[in-house]
Amino acid sequence: MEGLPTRLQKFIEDLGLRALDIIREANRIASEEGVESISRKHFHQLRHGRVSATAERIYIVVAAIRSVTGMLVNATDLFVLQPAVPQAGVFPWERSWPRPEPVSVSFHRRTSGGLWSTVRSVTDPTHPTNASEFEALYTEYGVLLRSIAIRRYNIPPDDAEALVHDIFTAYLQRREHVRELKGWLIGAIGNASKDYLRRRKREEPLLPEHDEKPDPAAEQKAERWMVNFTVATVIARLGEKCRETLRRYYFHEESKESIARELATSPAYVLQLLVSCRRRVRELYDAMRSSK
Amino acid sequence: MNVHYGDDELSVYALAPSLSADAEAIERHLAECDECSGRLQFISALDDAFREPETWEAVDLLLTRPQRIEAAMAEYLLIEKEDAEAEALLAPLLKSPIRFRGANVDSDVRFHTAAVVRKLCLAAHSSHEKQPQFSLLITNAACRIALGLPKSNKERRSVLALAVRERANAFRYLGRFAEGLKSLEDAEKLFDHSPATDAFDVAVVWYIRAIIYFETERPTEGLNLARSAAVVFHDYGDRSRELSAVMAEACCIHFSGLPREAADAFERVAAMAREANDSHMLARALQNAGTSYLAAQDHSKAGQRILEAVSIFDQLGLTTERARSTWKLASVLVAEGHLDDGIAQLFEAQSELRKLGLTNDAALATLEWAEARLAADLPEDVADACRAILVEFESEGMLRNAHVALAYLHEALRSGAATANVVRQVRTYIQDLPSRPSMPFVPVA
Repeated sequence: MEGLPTRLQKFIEDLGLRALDIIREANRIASEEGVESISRKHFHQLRHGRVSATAERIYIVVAAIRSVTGMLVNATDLFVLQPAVPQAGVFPWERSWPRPEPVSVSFHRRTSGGLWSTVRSVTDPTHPTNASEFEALYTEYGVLLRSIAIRRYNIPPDDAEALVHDIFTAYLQRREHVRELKGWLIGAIGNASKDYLRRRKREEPLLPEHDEKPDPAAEQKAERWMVNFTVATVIARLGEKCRETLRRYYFHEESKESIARELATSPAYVLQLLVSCRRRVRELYDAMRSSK
Repeated sequence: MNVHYGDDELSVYALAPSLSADAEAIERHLAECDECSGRLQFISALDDAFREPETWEAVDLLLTRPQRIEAAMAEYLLIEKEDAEAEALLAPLLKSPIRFRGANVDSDVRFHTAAVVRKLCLAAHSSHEKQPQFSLLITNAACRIALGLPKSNKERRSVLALAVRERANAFRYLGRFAEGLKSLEDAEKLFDHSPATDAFDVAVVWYIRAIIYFETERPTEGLNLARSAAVVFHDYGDRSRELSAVMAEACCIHFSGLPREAADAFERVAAMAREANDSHMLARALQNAGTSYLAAQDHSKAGQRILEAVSIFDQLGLTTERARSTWKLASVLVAEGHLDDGIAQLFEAQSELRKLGLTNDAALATLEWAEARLAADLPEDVADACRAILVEFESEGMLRNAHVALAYLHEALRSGAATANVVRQVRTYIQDLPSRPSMPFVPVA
């Protein structure tokens, strides 16, 4: 009896992909990479969850689907992988009065435009556990922190880069004490930027937007930027084909016909591509939101 | 049944209504369906974000390799390596205080690294509750190693600050509050070289100091510190520490003799915990609110809050906290004047606390039971029950003081001079002993 559809099966169905196209592409990649190819039968079994996928199989299936769809799918989009080991750290409380280390929580808020600003609470809720996770954190949050320093505090880009680097160094030295990683990084760049301005412009007062008093207009602007940044982090995870099609259609306002000519395809295909890429954006965005 | 449009159909409609096969039907449906309108609004908001230049600027930045990534990765790998080495060196030693003491880590150069100091701080942090003497031993070693690091070591100052702050925490758990405050003063001075992180690190110092203040009957001094710490934790998005700091603030208010205001503050903590979906903190805030309401003689609200806390502790499987809340419910009954029921429940509570190994809580509940029995003019069994009372304290001095107070009670019970008031004096004294470890027991006539 068939159980629930696997992630792979659901993905193939949702995007209306042909299994044969994926198998051909997988075998082309396998041949280029010098790894074992995948038979139709084995792919069928994987698709229906009848066999477990080895790391090698996962690699070529993911690569094939990326190539076929132009989307930057992750292995976890297609397969259920071993969950990460949960972080230790819940501290026993023996009395109700406060103790220094209670359990950690996160929160989120909704923006007026219908999108969630997920940056403070969603995109990376855990500490990196290996070099590639740290690299991803440094890259993604580095952009966010540099942008805050540059846009909100008018720090020159090179100095903003240095401040961000120092913050990541400080983080590495005390990561055991940091519970809400994103909030901590954002709080740290705020303090580092203010200190920078005080040191560099000691004779000049801080600008109103650096003041601690809430400024609704600045808050709104910052919130909108956060939303756009969150969407940007999703777009950056798409495959190049999707990303560039979205860029050309929305940002450069090119017509479907023009994009189709460039891609040597039909406007109907471009429309289909736009619909599937936007669906992928929504899925990634929702996944980020629900991972809180 | 209301049939909704799928995201893809709405997506095409958002792209251009003319592309939809049934644009008019969709339009009519949207006018009546909030769910589909909401989803269309979300799709349109994403489309709007796709049109924003700053979205694409951010995309390009995200796709560009950061300038200093090589240096950052080198730093990460170095710290990981040092941490792994420190872990391997320390893991066998941290299994017991005897092994740790025997290893004499601060005179062995292999242990003279910033990573070892960080690991020792972490180990101490998780030992404070159960082995405070061991955690002091660990933090003392951490401080000595940090001090011995070469001055050129860029981490020297920050790990020394962390070690001194952790030692303050160890002192606090041991009830050595004066030494704890001194260490916090030293730690605060050491956190003055990294503008990005100092505010946060210093807020942790303030928080610990606020706890010491309210535990040493200086709650008014702790109040502002807890409040300031909460603001900083909020700025750093650290919701759990913020909640703890607001809880500390409420405790300071309670211990300032303002139970009504404290109950309001605990209600605020409960509201925040509800919003944050933090059941542990919610249950504790409710339990504390109940205690404050009890002190403010608002028995009805006290009962409601504690009952809710009991139910959450039940769901969380926190049997010890549940037992404490049940004990508080019995106290509410006694305070309301339902002596018979209250006495029966206090008896059950002390028995449950004893079974759970909460010796001191069981002792206090037994004393509360004895007090209620004497108030109800039911002295039978009180002397026997009080003779069976056991107390446990880390410090010999505290244990001796507690035994003196209990001996006074036994004598009063033997001579027939014991009253509810005498039992209350002994109970209050033992209850406050951790906050005032060196204060001798002096009975008030």
